Amino acid sequence: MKVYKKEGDVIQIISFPNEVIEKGDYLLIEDPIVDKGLLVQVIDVQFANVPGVFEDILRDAVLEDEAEGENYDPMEVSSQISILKDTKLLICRIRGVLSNGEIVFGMNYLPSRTLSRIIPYKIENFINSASRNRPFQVGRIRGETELILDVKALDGKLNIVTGKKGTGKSHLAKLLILNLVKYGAPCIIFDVNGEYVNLNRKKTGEPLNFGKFINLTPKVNMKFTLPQAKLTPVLNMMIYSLDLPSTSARVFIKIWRELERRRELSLTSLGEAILRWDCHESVRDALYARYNMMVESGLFTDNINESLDFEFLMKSVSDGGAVIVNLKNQSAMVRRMIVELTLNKLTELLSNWKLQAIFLFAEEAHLYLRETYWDDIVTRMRHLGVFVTFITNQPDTIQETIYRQADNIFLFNFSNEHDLEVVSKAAKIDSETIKKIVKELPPYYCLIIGDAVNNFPVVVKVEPLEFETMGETRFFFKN
Amino acid sequence: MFKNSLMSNLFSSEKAQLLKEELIPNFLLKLSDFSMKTIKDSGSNFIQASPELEFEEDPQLCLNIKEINNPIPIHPIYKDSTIVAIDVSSIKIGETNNGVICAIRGAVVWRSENEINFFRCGPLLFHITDFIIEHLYNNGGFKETLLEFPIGVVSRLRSLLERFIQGSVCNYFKDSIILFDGSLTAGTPDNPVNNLNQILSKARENRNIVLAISKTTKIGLSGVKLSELLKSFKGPCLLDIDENIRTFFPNHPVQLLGKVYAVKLAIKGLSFRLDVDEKINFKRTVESLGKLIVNDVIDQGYPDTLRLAHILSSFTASDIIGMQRFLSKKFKLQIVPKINLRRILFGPFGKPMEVS
Repeated sequence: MKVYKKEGDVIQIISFPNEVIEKGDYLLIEDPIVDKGLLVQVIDVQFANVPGVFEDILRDAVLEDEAEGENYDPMEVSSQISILKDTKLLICRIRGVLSNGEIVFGMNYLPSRTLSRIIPYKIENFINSASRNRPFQVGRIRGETELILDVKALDGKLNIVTGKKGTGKSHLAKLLILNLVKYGAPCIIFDVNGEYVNLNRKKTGEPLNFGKFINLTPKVNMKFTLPQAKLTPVLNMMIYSLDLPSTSARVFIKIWRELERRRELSLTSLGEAILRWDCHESVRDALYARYNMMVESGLFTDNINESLDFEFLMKSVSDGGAVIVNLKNQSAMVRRMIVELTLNKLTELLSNWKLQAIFLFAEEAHLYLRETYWDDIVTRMRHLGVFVTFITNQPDTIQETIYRQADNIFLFNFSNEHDLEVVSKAAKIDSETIKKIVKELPPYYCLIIGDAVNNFPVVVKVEPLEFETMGETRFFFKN
Repeated sequence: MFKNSLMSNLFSSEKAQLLKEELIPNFLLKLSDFSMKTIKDSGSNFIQASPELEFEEDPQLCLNIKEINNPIPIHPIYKDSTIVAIDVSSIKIGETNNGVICAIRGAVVWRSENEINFFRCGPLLFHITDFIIEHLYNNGGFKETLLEFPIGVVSRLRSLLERFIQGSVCNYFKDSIILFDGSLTAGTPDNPVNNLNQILSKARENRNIVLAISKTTKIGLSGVKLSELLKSFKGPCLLDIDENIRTFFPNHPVQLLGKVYAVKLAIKGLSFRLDVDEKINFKRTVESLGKLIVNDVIDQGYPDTLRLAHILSSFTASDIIGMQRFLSKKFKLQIVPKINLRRILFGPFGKPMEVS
């Protein structure tokens, strides 16, 4: 390999066919004169524009179509000529300077074209060495070397897992959840497609020997009594999920407090109180309509025995476990109600230090997350200890501000230009790297950007899971 | 179609060895090998890369023909015939301390019953030094040592390979139309009359007809180029210009061993100089051309088989870089840019376009 050109922080390298270099690989340009090396990442591999190669290929094409024949090359010069046709131009982005065994960011210099030696650099060694306390194998680089991350890299962070359908997003999310649980972290998952419900089981059917996994199914084992649900979560649910007007909300608060005062707070008494409350007819209608929705949702009960103690539930997974909120087969409205209620309950527990922190995995969050929550999640809720991982195949449903503030982004394949444009706005990396690499990622390969990989973008083949995945796309034709 | 099994067995397992012996003269292989070894002896550790265009040495004739005969139409003759074409190219790759490195490559293409086959040999590399010239004089059959260096030597080597391949082809093919690139002019040091006479004689023995088509000859009729000469004639045609040309060639040393025509092979094609073995009568010449236009594809008036032979043998820029890489790997030579004296002396004012 030889350095050909440097423009800004892009270096072009000539590489011969016997040098197997792929997109995402790291190279070290060692300059013996200055005793340091330029660390670059290959973001695109092109054919080198060798003079005369057009004529050569044209000649090959003509002969391939028209003639059959034989070459007699006594000196075996042709092999060298063939090599030229396949000579590659590696477009590389400078990632840092290696000096005295340490990588320095933001430094740049012009390496010697003639004296520099270019060698593949195993960036995984650098990342792995920093992941010693709570290591887990996220996958393999080039399908060979293990890439070890530390679950701490997800702690207190905002993560995004995105890619088109069938590329392995949920697979990675499950891997992250299981490793968080393994190291004693509590997780909660908003499971839109019911694909996390078997997370606690191996493919053989055996249960996992670590962590606690609880599936919550609305109307079945996810029901609250009103005193357990409490006013603020229920009120927010009424306002944000059921669009309760503010005048009606004020009346609702009065009714709730009155029932509390009388120690008569129940679903039945709430309905009766709304009907007989002294207020404008339109307010009563508005409140009663929402009340009916609450009843129909099946989320509430007056039977204390079938009620869910959310605090107890979350404490039971606080030493390592996952609560899977199954949103499958729920109407959009009920989904929004469940999420609103759950997030409010979580905020309440975290504010009162009844829960230290929680890792929230939100699949296709745009289906149930209200507008105002996006900013809330990256600011207020993050400080309270809700560390969110968004998982989506529609990157434009996540706001640009979220991308900019994301600490880790796991990007799977996108071929759509619009989607690429959206994800390229991630602040931690140049847009060209994303566009060039992500477009050609095979299934189960992802580009990891951010703190988890010490800010060295890495292409990794995600580790297979020994657990029931359930997230694979269902097909009609078997073969 | 083939006289013996060589060509019919072209793709058999033993072909390489047979072809090596029959299409590349052994002495040329040895000479190449021998000459390349002299790189190490010469103490050179670098090559000044100065790739030049392939050497084109067709004779340049500028005649002013005042009176010409009427062109004879060529009528298609629908009889199967094998068309064989031969071309050889040479190129300079770079300069060492005491010589020049050049390469030659030859190609044979044959079209039979709409199937095209080819055989390409080379590139053969030569390190041309005084020592090699001396060696050539002893073993290569050259009669003169005064050669224009290095073009004369390269031309000789190319001519050697070309005539050898032409001879082999004329020997092995039967009842075929054999196309040479260039003319049937001989008598120069690198192109002896005897060699060509033997080739033509062998061709006649095997009932082949040799048609030499030249691309670059400039013959003018009151200022009209040969390529435009037959433009006004509607169909394929042949014009005898032998007498007009022959007056410009004394019998010694350069001789015309063929009868010279201007030929147009396609309705809207260009016309070219055509040399046909002088011992072939006019009737057979016209018949052969009639078969040629039926059995070959004629694009812009030029036979496709000959075009393919040229494409196969010619060198591209990447061929040159590949050969330089080969030299650097095998002989540990460093490739450096050629020193440009004008550039050194005059800097940006030393432009090659200036005459003096």
